[in-house]
Amino acid sequence: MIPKLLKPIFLPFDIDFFCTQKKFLVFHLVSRNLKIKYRRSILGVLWTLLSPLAMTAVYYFVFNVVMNVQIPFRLVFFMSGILFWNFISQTIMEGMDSLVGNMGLVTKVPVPLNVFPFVGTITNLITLLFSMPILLGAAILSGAPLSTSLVLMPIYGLLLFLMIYSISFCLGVLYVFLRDLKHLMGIVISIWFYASPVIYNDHMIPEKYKWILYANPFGMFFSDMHLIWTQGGWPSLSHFLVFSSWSLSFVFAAIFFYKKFSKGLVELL
Amino acid sequence: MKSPIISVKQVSKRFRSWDERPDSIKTMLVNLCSGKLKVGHRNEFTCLADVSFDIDPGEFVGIMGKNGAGKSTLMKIISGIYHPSSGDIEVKAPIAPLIELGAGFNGDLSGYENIFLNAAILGFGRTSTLEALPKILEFAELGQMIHMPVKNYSSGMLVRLGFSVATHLSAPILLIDEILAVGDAGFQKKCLKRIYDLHDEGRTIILITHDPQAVREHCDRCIVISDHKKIFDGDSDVGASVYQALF
Repeated sequence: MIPKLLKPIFLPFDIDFFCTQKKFLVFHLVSRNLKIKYRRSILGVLWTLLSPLAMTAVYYFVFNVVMNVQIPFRLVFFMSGILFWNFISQTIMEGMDSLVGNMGLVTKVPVPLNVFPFVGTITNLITLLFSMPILLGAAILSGAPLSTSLVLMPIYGLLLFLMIYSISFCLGVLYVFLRDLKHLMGIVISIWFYASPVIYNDHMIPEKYKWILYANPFGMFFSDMHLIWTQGGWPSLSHFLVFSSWSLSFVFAAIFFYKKFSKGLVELL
Repeated sequence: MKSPIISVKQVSKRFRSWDERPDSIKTMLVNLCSGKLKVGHRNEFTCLADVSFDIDPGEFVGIMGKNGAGKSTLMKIISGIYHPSSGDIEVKAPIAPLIELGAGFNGDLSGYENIFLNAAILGFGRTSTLEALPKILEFAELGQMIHMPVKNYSSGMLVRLGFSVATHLSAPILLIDEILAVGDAGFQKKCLKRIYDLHDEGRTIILITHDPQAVREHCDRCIVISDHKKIFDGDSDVGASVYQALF
């Protein structure tokens, strides 16, 4: 799971943070999640895609028809924001519940606790990948000037994955101690949505509030997504570095949590 | 002299609890405003005190003790779910913990799919699961039902499948926690026979039970736990009597 290049960074931590020793378990838990998600209904995959697509349609209507905001390639613009935001918010909320929700299992069988947020993040990442062809199709049909900057998507995807997995794990641990975290996160997530440039352009932000973009872990991510998908531009190196540092700091925070809590946590469940 | 496959060295387990530990952000904020930041009085509860023993490969050990004596905590420490507060535990081979049969079974998946899920949760890989698959299917006696979602299974069928998965995987150590009181008489017999067969194959078996008869008949050795301490370790006949004398 760890790219070769990053391996030395993780060696001193001496823990299986990326579940490399539990591939079979991760595979079967992910396939369980996907099967349950898609077997129950005839529409299957479509259901999970429907919600971000419906939100895209709503924002498109509000901003385009009602408010008449001028953004080039509006549909692709909203879609590229909302598909990723949906992945982020859904994974974080599910990840928070992943340890407490699996209480029955982890108190009976020795399973590393980070497996559950890891599996949850992979499951949602697969759903996100299913939606990529739709985004690509929409971009091509609406004539957005896509370019070779699309090759950056796997890197952004990996960094986003690391970040969301780490946040999910930390919140999952905190939720064991603070059971009203769920209510708080519900509020935080909705504020976070409007604090990130998901449905607006980052240059619409007045100069004196620009710092929010850097202080927000997802600020650079969404601004780069919009750039890649609606203008075919290459994100600036500074943007990329800010986002990578956010992502890696969350990974380190999560490894710290893992080291600190993984041993005694089961007893508190 | 064989080297022990499990060695428990002076293991103690204490659980902590706080009288007024804030368990929500709301309580924490209220406490902060009213100026008290203490977490309340801390209580410690000893669940196991200074327990030591070795188990050799191929032994069939019965662990007995009253409810609340600390047997299940000991099992959870051996299987690696809990970590000891002090002392050391060394387990040199993979364990199949039969603390709960069919751990992680999912009602919407078929019995067949659940075999893989359960085996993965118990810590086994693809090869050992595939190897054991024919035997698991045969023992579970589910026939064509194996391809139905397990939510349609009777509780007896679920237990059969769970037991079959746990006992056919190639774990050298089996940890069995009072699960044999399930299923009908015929199946109980079959389960017991399966456990003895595994013992004959040379597997190490640890059985937690309240049944002195079973210990007398089958175990090589018996450990009795009372009031969080080991009070007896040795011959299973004597051990069963020690256990009975506790009441």
